[in-house]
Amino acid sequence: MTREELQATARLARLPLGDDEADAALPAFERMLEHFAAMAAADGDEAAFGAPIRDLGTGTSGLRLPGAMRHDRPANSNQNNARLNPNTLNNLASELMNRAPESENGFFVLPNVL
Amino acid sequence: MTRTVCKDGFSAYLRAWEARIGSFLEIDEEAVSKAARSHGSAGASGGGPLAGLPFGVKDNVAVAGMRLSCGSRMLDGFVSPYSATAVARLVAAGAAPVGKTNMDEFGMGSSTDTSAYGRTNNPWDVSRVAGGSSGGSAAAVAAGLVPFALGSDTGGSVRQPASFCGVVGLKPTNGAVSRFGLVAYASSLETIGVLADSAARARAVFEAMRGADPLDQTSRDRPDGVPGARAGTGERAGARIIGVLSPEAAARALAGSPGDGASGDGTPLLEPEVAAAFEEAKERMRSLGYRLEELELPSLAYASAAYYTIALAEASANLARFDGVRYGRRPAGAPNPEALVEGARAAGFGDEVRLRILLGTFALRAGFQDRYYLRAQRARAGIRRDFERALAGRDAVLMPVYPTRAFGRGAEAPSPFAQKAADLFTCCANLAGLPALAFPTGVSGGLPVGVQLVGAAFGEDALLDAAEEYGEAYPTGRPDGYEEYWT
Amino acid sequence: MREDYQAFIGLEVHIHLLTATKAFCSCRSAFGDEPNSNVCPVCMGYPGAMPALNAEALRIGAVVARALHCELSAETRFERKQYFYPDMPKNYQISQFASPLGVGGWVDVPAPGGGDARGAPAAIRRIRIKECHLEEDAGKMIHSGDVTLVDYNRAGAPLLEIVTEPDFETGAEAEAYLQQLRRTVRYLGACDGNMEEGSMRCDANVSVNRRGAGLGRKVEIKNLNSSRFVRLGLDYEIARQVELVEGGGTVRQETRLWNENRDRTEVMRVKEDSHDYRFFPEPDLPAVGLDAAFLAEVEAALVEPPFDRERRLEADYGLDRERASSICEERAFADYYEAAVAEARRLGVGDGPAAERTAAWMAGDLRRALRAAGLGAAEVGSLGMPAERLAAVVALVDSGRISATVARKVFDAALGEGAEPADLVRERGWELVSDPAAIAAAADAALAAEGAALAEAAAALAAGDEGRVRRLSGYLVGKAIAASGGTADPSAVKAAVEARLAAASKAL
Repeated sequence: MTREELQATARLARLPLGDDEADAALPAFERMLEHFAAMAAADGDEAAFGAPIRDLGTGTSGLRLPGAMRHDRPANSNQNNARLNPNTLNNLASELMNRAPESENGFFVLPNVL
Repeated sequence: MTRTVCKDGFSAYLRAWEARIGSFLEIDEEAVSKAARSHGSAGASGGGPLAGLPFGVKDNVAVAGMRLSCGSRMLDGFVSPYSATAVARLVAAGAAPVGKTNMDEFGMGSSTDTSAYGRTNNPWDVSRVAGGSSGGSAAAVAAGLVPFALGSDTGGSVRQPASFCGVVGLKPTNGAVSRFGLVAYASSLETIGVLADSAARARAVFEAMRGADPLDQTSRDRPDGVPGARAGTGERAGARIIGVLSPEAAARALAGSPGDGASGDGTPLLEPEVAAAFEEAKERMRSLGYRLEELELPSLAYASAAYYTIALAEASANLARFDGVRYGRRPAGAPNPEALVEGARAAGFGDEVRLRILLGTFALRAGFQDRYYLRAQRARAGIRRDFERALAGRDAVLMPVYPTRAFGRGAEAPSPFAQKAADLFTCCANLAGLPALAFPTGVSGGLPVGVQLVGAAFGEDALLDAAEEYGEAYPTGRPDGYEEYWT
Repeated sequence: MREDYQAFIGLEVHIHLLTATKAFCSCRSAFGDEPNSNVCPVCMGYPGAMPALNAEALRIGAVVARALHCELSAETRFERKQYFYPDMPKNYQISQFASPLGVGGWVDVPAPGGGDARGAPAAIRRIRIKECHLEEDAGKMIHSGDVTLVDYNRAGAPLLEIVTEPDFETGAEAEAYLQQLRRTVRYLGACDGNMEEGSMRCDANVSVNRRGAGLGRKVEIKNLNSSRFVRLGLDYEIARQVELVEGGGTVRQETRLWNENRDRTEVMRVKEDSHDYRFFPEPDLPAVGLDAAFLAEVEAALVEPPFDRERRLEADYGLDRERASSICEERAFADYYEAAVAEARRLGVGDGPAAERTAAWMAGDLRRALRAAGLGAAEVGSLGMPAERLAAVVALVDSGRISATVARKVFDAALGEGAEPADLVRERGWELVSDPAAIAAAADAALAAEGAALAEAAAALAAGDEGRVRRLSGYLVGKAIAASGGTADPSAVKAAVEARLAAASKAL
């Protein structure tokens, strides 16, 4: 685990680290590597789980059927969903624009990307 | 300890407490005072158990028109344009959100002291923490400012502060309550939870919030075949058998975990007051007619590793959206978008949050060909299996909540070995996706102590039944200065 | 390209699915609205928002995957593809990776330039489809001076990405595939296939190597905004790489943009992170189990693929390739054809003539009418000329009830007035007249009015000047038909005129 690797990781997260900061963070990263080692060890520890771990699923919320997915109807149609969710996400476009840190003629503004 | 009902003095009561504990970041004082005045008066009955009740909302759960800072500078001044589904359903049930409560920044902490907006003090001893990350909600309920408050529980963030503040803390089954409107930290681990002044109150809140939400496709109704809510006749659900994960069994599980010095240094896992309270709770459960069976959960050896890998990896992705482009603050005069984003994130995130994002990014990097995140999810499935085995034929598993009572600031942390166990007792319910309930069992050395029950998926009722029974037989106290405004 | 070299091209095509709402929220998925008007907390990456999968996007995506002969995954999962970019509200894209919607498909593409118009079928290339997966689109950025402006209306729109194996060898093959794919997705109503507007986008991976030496180092080519540019861009790139390698250089693995103004590919100026997408399963969306009911629904939505239909029309209707291809340009147009032919046959027209004449009408007058109405072939149903009516016209000509000339009048009137051809013919007396007395009267009337011409023709006939006779006779027949109001049976008129001519000639 080198400082350069750490700094590369930081750039990926848009949280660049200076050299001193990177060095200070190294111990925490070393601990992370221990967790990875534990994960690798779990592969061989059938006794702890009662089954070979590679046979276990990785999904966390169970399988759903296509029929349970969202109907393709625009939010501002007369769809009464009030019982399930008295919330509404309709017609919030202007609210969202009001929260733009910088805007112009209905666009969000940034320094030029190119 | 006094219990006087002094409705007209509620504003003064609220202000006095807030000056000492600082549980709210934003509060509509008029609304909560009005609720206090009209509470329980003739004509206000009917309309359900939540009608007219005010509640606090942790500042990472959206309430339209209120701040949503998540305890972070990143969202300083941000006002949510929409409400979380859980909040909307409580409003539909007649309750009213009156304020946003303090929390550890983005849910990452166990004290609430990492909030960018100040600390929250424990109502039982203001020199101590309220716990975290839902410390503000726990303290507000403990002080009687509101009868209940919403929190979020990723690895114990509802239950640990509940235990530190002597209130009931419910973490529902993952998927039982919609997460829409909960600012995500670790999506597959977290739930919106309830801090309440009684188990009965927690149950009423949970019932109003629960159920499938089209806006959260991971949310579900209770499946058929799981025992439903008990009838109001006093009949109890469940078999009245409780498994016990003793501190020693937890230590044995930890000894099995690979990595550094897991064999421990001989120090007991629990603070003596907490250990004694745990034994007392066991005795009292027996006296109520529960049969207790000691058990082992060897899979807990991998709980920490799995928890940290998953939580940090998901956090790194969930917090990527905070970049100052569409909302939030941005640095002035950035020369290009990359500098703008980096500047916004550097200024907005505290140290702990930045570190966790980096660790999570690291965990997901391509260099780790074996996809540790997926492995952690498999280990997690294994932990769930282990719990399901332990819960077969039983109502719940009893275990401690946290190794210590509310700790002080600058005080010594629990021993390194105990620190590993610190998250263990709570994070395993998040890993297994199961419901867990922390409830107070007494006061020791002037601070609350409590225990935790972990149940089968969608088995919240059995947990609440036991806690309600315990609470009726062995009522615990309230902090000095507490006045009961909410019956 | 030099024979000793081989090119390997793989295409990644993104198609924008024609759903009412976005992939993961209920905002309208539409083009051309005011900027940032079709947005909500979900597609804007607001704190606390969560995605909710659009069932229709799943269905349409699965239908396209099946149309490309892919196998649908029993359980399909979403994943987060992470990178920071201003047009990405969450700074990750919800996409698929380990369990895409469909895998292992293929599509037959006519090899370009092969075969002739009639006769031997063109060579067919089978292109393998590696996978199809669903994902969400990003917002749109406009770069202008010091700033970049961002519109998130498109952010979250549902896309299906279709990835081929590197089976293409030339730009022309890639172009043919795109044209075929465009037709296919339009046939399914899944996408409008408009590359210029961006509802169908294509990126390519190109490598070259000495023949037999396997894949070379690949270069990604972007900004290929039409199927023609795909062909030009790929041909250019292949040549560039071959030249480079021949000259002893090595091809650098990079991303290049097609510059349509300079007809060449250029290295992207923008510095790109060597992307580490850190894929992991999307925890906010459950895996979807594609159950039997869903699979049946998908199969039922499949239509005969355009290329198959073309070949069937050639075989069963005796059409040449060009005609079959033209009719199969759009599904509605091909449906129209087959319905019209079936109706014509029902009205008694022989199989062959029904097929051939209907095709001719559609290539001629129908296309003209569509153009005049500003409609495309896909909109033939909106023209106001139902297939049955066209068939009626064909049948009227075939049975001899009207002449070919009158038929065009009938067509125009039926279109313009929305009337039935048989009614029009009857009401306006447009029936072909064959009654000998009427024919004789018309001939007599015309010849009486054209005394000079008649005399000239008779003289020419007597003199044996066949050319002159033909010319004058034709003129007189035309006059006689006109005298009948156009309804006289032309062959009967011709016979009557020629008889009188002969008589006049004999009388000289």
